[in-house]
Amino acid sequence: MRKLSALLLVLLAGVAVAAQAPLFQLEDVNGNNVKLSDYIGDYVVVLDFWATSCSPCLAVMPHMQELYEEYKDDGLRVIGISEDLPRNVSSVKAKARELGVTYTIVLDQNAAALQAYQGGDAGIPFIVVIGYDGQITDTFRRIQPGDEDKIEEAVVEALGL
Amino acid sequence: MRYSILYLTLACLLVLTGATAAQEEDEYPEEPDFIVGDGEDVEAGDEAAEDTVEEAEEEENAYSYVIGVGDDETQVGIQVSNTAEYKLYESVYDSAAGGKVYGMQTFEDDLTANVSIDNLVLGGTLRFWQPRYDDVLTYSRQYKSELFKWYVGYAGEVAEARYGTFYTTFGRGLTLHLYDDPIFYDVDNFLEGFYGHVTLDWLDVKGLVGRGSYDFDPLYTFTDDVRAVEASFNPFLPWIEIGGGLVSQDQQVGVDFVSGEAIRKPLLMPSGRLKVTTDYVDFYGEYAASSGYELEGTEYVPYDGEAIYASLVGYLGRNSLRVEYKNYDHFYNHWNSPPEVSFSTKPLDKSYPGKDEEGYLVQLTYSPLIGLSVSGGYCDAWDSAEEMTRTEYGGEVRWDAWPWHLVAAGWLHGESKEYGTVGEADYYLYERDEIWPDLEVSYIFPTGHSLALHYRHELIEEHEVLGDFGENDISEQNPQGSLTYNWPELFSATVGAQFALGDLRTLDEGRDYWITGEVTFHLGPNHDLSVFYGNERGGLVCSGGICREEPPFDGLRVTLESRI
Repeated sequence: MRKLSALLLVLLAGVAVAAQAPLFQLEDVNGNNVKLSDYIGDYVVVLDFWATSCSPCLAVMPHMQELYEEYKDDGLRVIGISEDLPRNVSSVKAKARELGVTYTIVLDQNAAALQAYQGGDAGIPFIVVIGYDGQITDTFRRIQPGDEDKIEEAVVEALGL
Repeated sequence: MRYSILYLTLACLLVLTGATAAQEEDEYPEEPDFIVGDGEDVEAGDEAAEDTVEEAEEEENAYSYVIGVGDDETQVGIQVSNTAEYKLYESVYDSAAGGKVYGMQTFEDDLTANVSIDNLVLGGTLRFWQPRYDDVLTYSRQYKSELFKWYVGYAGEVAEARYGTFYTTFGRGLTLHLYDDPIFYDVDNFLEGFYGHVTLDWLDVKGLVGRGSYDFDPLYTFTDDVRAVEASFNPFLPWIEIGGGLVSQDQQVGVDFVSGEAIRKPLLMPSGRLKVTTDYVDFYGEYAASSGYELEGTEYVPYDGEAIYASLVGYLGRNSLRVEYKNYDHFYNHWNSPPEVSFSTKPLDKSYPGKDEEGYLVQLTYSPLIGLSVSGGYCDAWDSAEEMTRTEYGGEVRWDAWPWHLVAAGWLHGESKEYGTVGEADYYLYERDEIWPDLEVSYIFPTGHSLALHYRHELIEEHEVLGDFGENDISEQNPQGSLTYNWPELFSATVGAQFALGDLRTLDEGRDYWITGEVTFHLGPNHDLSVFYGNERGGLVCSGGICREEPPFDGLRVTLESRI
């Protein structure tokens, strides 16, 4: 109760609220449980929300792979979050391999993770950059060609390079 | 009224919090390090992380929301978003009014907040909707002012418990699939009640008790009580998973028109599944049975059903072969979504998906280079009496040379047949043959601006035989396209057009062309204002590669999305 009161006081006092990344635990395409909490503190994490039927999402994924390869030794991890419904899940892993993706791909079959990050009005492609401390440092909605440079800048800044 | 007051109070709090946050940002014009935390999570040797924490400490945690209470430090996370949408309909079909209504206006505002305090999580969506639900029966229960969704719970490393609104999926959704899909289908079929989930290295268990309302018509909202449990575990090897579940429902199957009471019948769905995951082959197979009641004449009689779904995907480098099989017999409820096993994701029987359908799908994808792929596939489905069949085959070539351009060209050929008897002598035959060439091209200019074109040309042939009433042959073409210009950080503008040519089908909208225009202004990184004007045809609407099922719309639509 004391903690809750403290929270309310902070809110009413108007202290700035940078967003803490909602934690999730989802199954990857290989059947392993992936917890975001396992990454927090050790890595800068990029979440890439996508779906096999979303062309802009597919277009940006090879770039995310390049980003991952370039900065993984500096502490970057990329998690691709597939918003495919169960009817399409069998094609998710094949599509990721086709695009040459080697970073982790998890399945968000009931869109719970997407809702947690976007609230009521959800849209993809959607990219989230999470700092070492678990706070969201940048988000990119409805990615367009040319945005890849801004994503890289955000990642570099989050990595402290 | 009470929701309006609550809504306004929360909205004021939201605005005040956001305004103060903006003020804080002005006081710190230099880019801050959004770094807090106790530092304990940073492993020794992780130099980048250590450096960042040190810098944050130097900034005196200006943007921290770690709250110190005694010796404890509480991690607080807050996400707030708001979507306001105003619609001015030039005309809209209203089933309650029995015809078109002109000049109707609607306003909808969804305020969504999620708060986490350590492992405690709470959140919800407050919906404000005008006009009153009672005034416009066209809209379902979702469209009224209310605390639309809410939850409170615990989210830990091993266990998750929630009371309130929840979503979950069992397996591939064969027996249970609770999800919110605002992107493609605008479906939101949550339950309200208790949900628990325990995850260990070798065991995963989910359990739930909830109630949900199923809307297929605003005048007939059915309410079901759902109890379910599911477990999966890796018994011997990490790449093998065995699972099973049981879904038990008190399902509302109708309404007693004399008493007005709901008619409820039990429905039971036990299931078992096997999943094998390797580098070269993935296999998923699930078997489920069902026992429930269905209407036969004027009586509800018990039935037994079953379902089999299996998929096998083989990989060789970036190339893959996918094979899927389904056999559903008397297998449907309000809370599942069996895989369709079709490229167009159309179930064989659109009225009762899963009632009686068998079929398979084969798809081969060849990718000689990253960014270049060629795929082709075939699928076939039929019911047990072969009175309904659907065959699809098609292919696609994709060439993604990001960031310069994207080219995707595909086509799909679908053939459907429905045959039925009406009375003793009359019969009904419906055949449909459709081809959808599809082209997407986008190009980025050196300035960073981009142009995207999407074009699809549907060719539809229908042959209908209505017993002694004669035959009806229809040939229709639907050229449709959209052009999008994007100026990064400022706006994006899309114009779209669709035409219906040839022997037109009966069109509820009463028109044979549809023109749209939409401009989205990016008001900073957290606010988007969209203005749409025109008329949209009902059905599957695609824009920028994102498609969703939409009702027809004719008029002005203004949407403001905010995230704080």
